[in-house]
Amino acid sequence: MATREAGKKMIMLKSPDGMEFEVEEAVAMESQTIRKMIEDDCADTAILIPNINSKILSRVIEYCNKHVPTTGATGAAASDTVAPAALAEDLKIWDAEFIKVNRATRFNLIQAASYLNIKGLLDLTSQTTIDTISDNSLEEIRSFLSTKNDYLPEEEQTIRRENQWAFQ
Amino acid sequence: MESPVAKKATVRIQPEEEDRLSVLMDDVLLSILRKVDISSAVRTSLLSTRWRQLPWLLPELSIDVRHFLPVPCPYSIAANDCQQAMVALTKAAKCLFAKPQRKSTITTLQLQLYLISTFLSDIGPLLGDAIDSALLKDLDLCLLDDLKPGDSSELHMLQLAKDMYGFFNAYPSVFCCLTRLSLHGVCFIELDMHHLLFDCCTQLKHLSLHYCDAGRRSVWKIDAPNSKLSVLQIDTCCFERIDLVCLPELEKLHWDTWVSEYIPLSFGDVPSLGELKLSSALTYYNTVFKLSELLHGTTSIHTLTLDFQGENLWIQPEMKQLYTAFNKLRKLTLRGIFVEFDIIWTTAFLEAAPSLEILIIEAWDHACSAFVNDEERRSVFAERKNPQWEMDFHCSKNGLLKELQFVGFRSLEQQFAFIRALLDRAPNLQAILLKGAEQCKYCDALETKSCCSTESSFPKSEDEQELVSRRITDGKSSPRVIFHE
Repeated sequence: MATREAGKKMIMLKSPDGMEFEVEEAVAMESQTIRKMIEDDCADTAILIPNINSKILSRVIEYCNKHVPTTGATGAAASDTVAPAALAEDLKIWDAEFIKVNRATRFNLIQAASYLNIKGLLDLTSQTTIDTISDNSLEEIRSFLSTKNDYLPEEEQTIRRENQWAFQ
Repeated sequence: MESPVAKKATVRIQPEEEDRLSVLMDDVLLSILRKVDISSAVRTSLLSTRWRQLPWLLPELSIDVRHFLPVPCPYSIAANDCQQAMVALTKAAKCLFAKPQRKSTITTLQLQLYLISTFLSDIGPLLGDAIDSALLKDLDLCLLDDLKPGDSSELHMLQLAKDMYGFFNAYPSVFCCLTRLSLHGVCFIELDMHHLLFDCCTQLKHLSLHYCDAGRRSVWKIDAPNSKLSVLQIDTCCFERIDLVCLPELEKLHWDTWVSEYIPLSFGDVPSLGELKLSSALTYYNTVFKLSELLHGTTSIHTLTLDFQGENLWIQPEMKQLYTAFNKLRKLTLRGIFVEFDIIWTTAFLEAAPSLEILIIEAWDHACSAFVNDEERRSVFAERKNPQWEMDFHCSKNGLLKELQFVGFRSLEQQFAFIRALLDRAPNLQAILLKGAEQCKYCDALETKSCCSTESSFPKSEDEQELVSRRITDGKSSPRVIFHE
């Protein structure tokens, strides 16, 4: 299925709410999950992407479109590609704009990036959460994640006692 | 401990509000947790029952003793702080990778600890058990020295070697999964260094030695045809020379600061060596050498970094002699070129490297110094002399060169002269990235931050940048000039 002219081949992605997106195979293959389906010959005409609505899926495709390498060549021989520093600079600015979304959308994107296995997108979308977990109190993290503490007080004490080294 | 918690969990009331992140799958949460430090990760087990077990499912763990110090990376460490940090690390290790809490396999454990023998007898069995019960696959071990390199004595270095040897002998299964090893301040003079590092550590892929030696000015000969070592890092080790007789899988070699009187390295059979980084400041007791002689024997270097740390160059002028060694060179970094030096001599390297794609130059300007005064400085370093290489250039071009990065750019005449000369050589250059000087906390603490006699700085405003761009490209659209302070 993955032919030499992968760049030209088109793939249909379907969201559970019935929308269809036609994308270049190379763009779709930014997702390791889809790449595997294509390489295993499981992607005949259309691929159904479960759990990801059309709004989120279209954003994911937008990301992949931007991040797909400009040539199919891998490794160092790609001397006709754009200089890496210029490219990296562009992408950084673009990423910063892309991630200006509300919290709910961001969590949906994290989930999509994880399911579709797109490392760059997962890194980008989860950075705020990583920072929050690293720098804040438990109460602040809970409020950021809208998580309720469902421990009984004595359980909480046990966990604190067992892992005292982490709370010092 | 587990079952009562689990039973209670069944009678819990579901939170009413949508718990956004907690509905995510375990592996999404784990991918987030693996990016925070281990204490923060373990603390999240208190967020809610959903998070209770997650930290113990992390496949990759990193535990650094320095994380448990009162100040994360102090200049010098009080012995008591060091002990306390090791106590905390031992508790963390017990809690994280001993049964019954730990049930899933740890694919990689990164462990950084102080080489203190009393604690090694706690850590050793923990590691040994985890390996023997197949819970631990890959070990990345860093044995730190609690003394600063300058404060360490030969006796102390010998003691560390003894403790390390004792540790490895007592828990031999640790060897089997040791893929990365980093040692600090160990003197191998009484040990068979080669046997220990290459015969015993059969899985070793990364080795870094900091302030280690085998007696001052010893020659370290590495002849290890069966070794899997791919990365070797040497930091300020007092070897006169390292002879790489045979290391078939070695891909990267970094050596920062040598004391050698002559050429510090020689290469035999290193067919995979692609990346070489050499960094040192030329002192009175070093002699300059020919780079082509050092590189003799290498066949596939594609990435080369030379750092002169702001002093005189430690290489002699050469061009044609470098053709063979530079044949496959794609990325060249020349760092630590004193800010007042000309840069045009680097053209000799371009001439010898027809495959070059990326060139990085760093102009060095630091007012900070490890010396009390100029006199003391002069006792170690010679007066700086502008490198002037007389070369016989052909009209060759670097057609593949597509990017120049200039670090420490500040609109100096010699910087423009170099960039203009490069444009002539590299017709397909696409981007010139001009960066400000890298931050230096020692310089930041000083009033005078520069040792350059010309007053000029990195172009900050749009107008200044526009002016610089125009001066470089003559108003042409290519290459693109990018500024990055």
